[in-house]
Amino acid sequence: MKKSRMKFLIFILCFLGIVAPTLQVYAEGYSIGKIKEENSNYGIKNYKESIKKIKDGIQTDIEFEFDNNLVKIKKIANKNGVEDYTVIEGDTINYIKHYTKNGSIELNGKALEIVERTEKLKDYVNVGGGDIGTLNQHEYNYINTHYIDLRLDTTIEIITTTVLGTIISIKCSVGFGVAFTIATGIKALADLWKNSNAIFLKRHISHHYRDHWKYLYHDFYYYDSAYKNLAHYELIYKS
Amino acid sequence: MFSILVFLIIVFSIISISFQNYTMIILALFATFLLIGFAINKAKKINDKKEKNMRIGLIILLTIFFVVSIVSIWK
Repeated sequence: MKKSRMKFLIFILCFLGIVAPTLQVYAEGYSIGKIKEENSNYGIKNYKESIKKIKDGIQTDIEFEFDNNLVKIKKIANKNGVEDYTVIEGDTINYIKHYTKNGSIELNGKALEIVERTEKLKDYVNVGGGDIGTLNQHEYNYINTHYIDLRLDTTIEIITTTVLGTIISIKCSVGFGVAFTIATGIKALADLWKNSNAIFLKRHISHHYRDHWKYLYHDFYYYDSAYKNLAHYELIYKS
Repeated sequence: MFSILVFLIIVFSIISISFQNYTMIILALFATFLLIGFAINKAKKINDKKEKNMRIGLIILLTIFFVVSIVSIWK
């Protein structure tokens, strides 16, 4: 094979194997940043911390700030998949309703839809109870026990791709072939440690990546008494 | 030096994701910046001006992508 053709082939391989995924990771990082920005405009603060306290058994009622007012919420009923909550402290909100069927939440009759559901998320809807396998069980156990912050994972992906890019750019003098080999080796190593026991469950949810990141933010707004026992599971499969 | 930094980045990353440790991710970011710094330093030593500029340009572009992504996630 001619040297120029060989170089062209290596370039294409590099592009498909490294450059394209790199751009994708950066784009994903950017979109996550945008979602976070959108979610920060709803005027609700400290919800996540409150949920954590409930999980830890420190408090029993949800407490969060809405429009700079402290709100305390207590669950009063759960009928036909619709959960009612009453506000026991706080002037601005008199009534809060949480529909487990569609996951929406109302404050004073005003619907708060935090993030628009994507087509990917709808994949869950048609899955019957009998189809719930180990994969989903792991997934929700992991979210509930570790309370993972997927920003960490995305940051690591960005770091990995930056490191690869840097290595390629400085190793060009020894040829694309060597640089490509090194990059492939590092990618393989990264895959290996991603597959280690600590990250094992993370891999299970990787195909719902974006949606689950959103779910972490849904946690700021949704509360379900079953939260400690797979809240999202309930929320999704009741649909 | 590059190998040590890459090794450290991988170790920090594993610890941060496994234990949800934010300090480790900061260390990994710091190590990545160091790596970029070393790469620029190495590129500066190239005699061919055209190649030198090309490589420095590439690394700077990569750094911009890196910083923008990190900031957009964590801001």
